[in-house]
Amino acid sequence: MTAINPARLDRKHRLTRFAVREHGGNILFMLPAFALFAFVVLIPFIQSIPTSFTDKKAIFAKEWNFVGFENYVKLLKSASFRDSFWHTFQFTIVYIIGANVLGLALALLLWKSGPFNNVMRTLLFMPFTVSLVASTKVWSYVYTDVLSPLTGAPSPLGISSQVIYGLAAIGIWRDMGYCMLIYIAALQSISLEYYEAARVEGANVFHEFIHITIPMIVPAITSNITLLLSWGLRCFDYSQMVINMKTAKTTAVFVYEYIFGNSRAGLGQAGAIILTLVLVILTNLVTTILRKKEVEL
Amino acid sequence: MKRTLAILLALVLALSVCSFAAAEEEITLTVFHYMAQTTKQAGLDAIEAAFTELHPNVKFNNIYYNQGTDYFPQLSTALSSGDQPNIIMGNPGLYPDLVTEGFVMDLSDNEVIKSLNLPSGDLGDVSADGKIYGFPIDFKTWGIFYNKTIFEQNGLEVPTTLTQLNELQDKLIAAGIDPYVRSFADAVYGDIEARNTVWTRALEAGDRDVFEKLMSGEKKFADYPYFAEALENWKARLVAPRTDDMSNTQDMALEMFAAGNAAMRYDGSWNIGDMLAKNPDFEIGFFVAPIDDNGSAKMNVQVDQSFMVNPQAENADMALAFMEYWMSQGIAWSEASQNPLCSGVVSDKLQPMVQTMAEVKASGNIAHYGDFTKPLSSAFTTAWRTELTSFAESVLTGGTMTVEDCIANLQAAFDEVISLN
Repeated sequence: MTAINPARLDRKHRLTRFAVREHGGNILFMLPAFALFAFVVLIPFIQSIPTSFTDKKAIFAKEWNFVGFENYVKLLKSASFRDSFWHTFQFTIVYIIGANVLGLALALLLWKSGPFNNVMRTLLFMPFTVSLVASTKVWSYVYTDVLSPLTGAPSPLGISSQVIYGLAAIGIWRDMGYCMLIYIAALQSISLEYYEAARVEGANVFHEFIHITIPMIVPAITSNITLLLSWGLRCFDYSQMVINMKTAKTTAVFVYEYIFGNSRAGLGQAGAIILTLVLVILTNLVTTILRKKEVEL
Repeated sequence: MKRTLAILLALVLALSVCSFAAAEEEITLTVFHYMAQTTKQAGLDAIEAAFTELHPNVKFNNIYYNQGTDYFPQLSTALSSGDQPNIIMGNPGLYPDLVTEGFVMDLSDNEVIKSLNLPSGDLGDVSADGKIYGFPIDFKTWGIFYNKTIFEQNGLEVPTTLTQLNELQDKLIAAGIDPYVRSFADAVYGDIEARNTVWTRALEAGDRDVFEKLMSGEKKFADYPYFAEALENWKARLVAPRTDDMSNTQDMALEMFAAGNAAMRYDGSWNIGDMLAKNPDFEIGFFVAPIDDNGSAKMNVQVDQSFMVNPQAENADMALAFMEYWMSQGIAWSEASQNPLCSGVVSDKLQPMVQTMAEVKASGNIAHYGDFTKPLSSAFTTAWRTELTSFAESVLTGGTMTVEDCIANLQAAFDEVISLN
């Protein structure tokens, strides 16, 4: 029988009290938002997991059979399900790169505060407040009624090979203002002394950007990329607006279509779980890599 | 004795007051529908207002969703959450789960429907597994709508053969006029362009089970030569592409057609009201697109507005009474929406071309969707429409997809749906 070390017990006790004092407030602040998230997202998602192992048809169906992993096997063999993932990745990659590059470029132009810059920042952030569906609707008119007559080219939303890029452009237009604000906050936190010292050493603007600005804003890059990766992989609204273009069908739309439109709730739910797993794995992977880079840089 | 009688009379009086109060209790009937056109929505308001005049305690709550994207999902969510609409728009064949789960009333013995002596096609369109579940209010057809003014100014005649139609298109192009304004951002348009040949030929050949066999995988598209013929006929109409062909929505294209930006538009009768609403002076004509030089093309007919009654909702009897009223007294609806009634009753306030459509249907020289054994289900309809849209895109943008490629793509898409079933 091992004797209890009173000193250890005391340390453990103190740690617990410290933890409660330190994190209790944070947890309390987080609780309302988490409760809402759990009620609206987490609990329904967990509740729906068993459905993915059934042949349930419509979501209002009262009877169904257990089919094991049959839905998962069917989906992994399905060309249209794989295609939907490919379209999702295409959209996400273009969207992340475009929104971040343009967001950073705008931040570099507008990071200093001043009346003109403040107005420009507000204007550029405004699309972020527009709903995704409204953005697509507005852009379908812009592409068809403004850009097509100017260029003589058809709208990308009607061309299979271009539609995903046309949608990504809408996403970039909407979210680059958000990226810009995050980058502006990061740029404003960099001490000007770094740049002054570099100039003394003979660095030009390009060197300053590569060796000072980029390393100092890596946390902002991580934040933007992670967030946009998650938004991009869940892309639904944009794709849903051009539903008859099969090259624009994302995984989220595939899932929606099967759960509701095609009355294959079990199969669609299995698709939702695969999508969630991919999203969690990819987001974690990218975050881990970027955090590692933050330390290295 | 007198005392007992007095008590009895008082009781009868009290009961009648109670029943009167109950009869006057306000009832709200919820109507779930997917009628996007403003004229149809006005028609619904008109028929509901007429019913409310007869039953002042009845009010309506109309809930609209887009059929292609939101309608069934929202309906499913409402039903699964116990929020029961009274009246549900849709054909039972397209939404078989509603039948299976008992959300629609069996109307096979409904006296109002029986009394109208509707043709088999109308009843087939609102039936599933041999039972009637919907009220077939009106019907739709599709074909080529043309701008009479442009035709008159250019001395053009309505074509009756495929050769004449091709010549007409050439003349318009030579005159610098766009033959068609199209809207393939809405998937239904590829579908209705191809249906004309498919339905006519399939019923002519006695292939009433063509869709049933394609959905079961028992037959392939290549087994039916008229699918290729339909694509060839449609391809011949996909001339003189415009930059907006693939990106126009129905509404955008209607605006342009009503403004005289093109001579013709392949469209459905459901848009007649909106075409006129956009330009009240618009002189429109209509003809069924020829499919050969022998005059074989038959006007396609499909029940348009079909409504089902939900027996699980409160006040199902009143909902049934409203639908029976609409079915038998739907003239207000027809005049407002410019839709021809299945009952055959024709108002002289309808556009002449709508009256002609009603006459053609009454003649029986039609190809009716309800005469097929089964309609395409939702998943197959999506696959069919998506592949047809891809074909249109390829032809209009100078792509390389051939009719054979499209048939192969359609088959692959159907095989995929079958594998996921």
